Amino acid sequence: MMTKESSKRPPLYLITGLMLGLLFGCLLSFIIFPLQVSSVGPSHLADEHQDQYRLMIALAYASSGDINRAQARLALLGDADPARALGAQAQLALGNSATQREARALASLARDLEAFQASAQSTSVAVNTPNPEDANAAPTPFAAQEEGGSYTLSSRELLCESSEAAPLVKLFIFDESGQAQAGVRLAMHDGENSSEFFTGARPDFGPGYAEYEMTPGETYILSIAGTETLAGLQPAACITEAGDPAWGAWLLLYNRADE
Amino acid sequence: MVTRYAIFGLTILLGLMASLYLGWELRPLSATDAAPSLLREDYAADYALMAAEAYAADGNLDRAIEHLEYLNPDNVLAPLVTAMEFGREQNYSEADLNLLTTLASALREQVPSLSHTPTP
Repeated sequence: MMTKESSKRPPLYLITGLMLGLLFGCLLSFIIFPLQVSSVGPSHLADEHQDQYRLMIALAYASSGDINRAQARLALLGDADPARALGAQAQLALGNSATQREARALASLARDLEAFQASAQSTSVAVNTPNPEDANAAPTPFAAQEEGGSYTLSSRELLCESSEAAPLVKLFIFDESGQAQAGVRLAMHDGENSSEFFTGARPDFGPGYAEYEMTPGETYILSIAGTETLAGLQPAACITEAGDPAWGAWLLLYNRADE
Repeated sequence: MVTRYAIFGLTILLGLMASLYLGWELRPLSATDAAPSLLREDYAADYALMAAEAYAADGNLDRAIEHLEYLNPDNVLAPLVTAMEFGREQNYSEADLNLLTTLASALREQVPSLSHTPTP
């Protein structure tokens, strides 16, 4: 009799078991051992922390006047319009008498960045205008620079952007006055072969930009304008912010040294 | 009866696995409200360098301390030391390393308690 009654009842113990398991699992994965997010980039910071990071970029720019560096740093925050974000933050800072210095720094960088971007855009348009008399030009829309001169590495950073990206070297070359320098001859030697390329071949990234895809396992020597500048350059593996293994891209910023 | 207990145990295990998968795998990994202490080493080093650049311009140590507290509120010297080590490894320019060293020295001189703070 009892057996018949229990067999008619819905299997509540199954639902109870499932609920117990879910509850215990949630306790484990959300409270006792929650997923730890670590090694994030500035774009993943909370808004107020992004504001502080942006402010530091402006204060550092006020000190150094290096617009290229400020622009590269602002790109890390992932703002759709960095100049507008700086301007908005400057407006907020202006409303507080204790942060007038910060407001000036933010506004100054916003203004200079807009001017710099407008200047870079007009330069890019000018140099990309085809010249019918120059049909056999080098594989860059820019005139080749003179050989020689020394370049100093001002920044070296491994970017870990995507698990599908190839191992790249991304180069930005600037002249003595900090302006992007187009038409600079670059070469990558892997011991046996040498590949040449020029800044400005990707005008969408600016006239001073060039990139090179490395082969895993090879070690390269980078030459700029005919001078060996950096040895021991190798593809580097990294982990993306999503936790996926990837090839990193070496971001190298070079400034031409004063003669 | 034994079968019933076994099935009960299996449902608990099933629920446990489902919620662990939810919490550790499916939960979105794209943090958008991270704290500065979670910044990757190179970004934290660059932030410390920016603080050093700002200090070089205004010489205001209190303000520099405020800026560095962003990275480590308990020990403002630690992010500078880490940045200097990272900078040497990554071949930061001599000028940048000097900026970091200058700020670290100023902190050690003018805030003596920091001199005894263990560095990472």
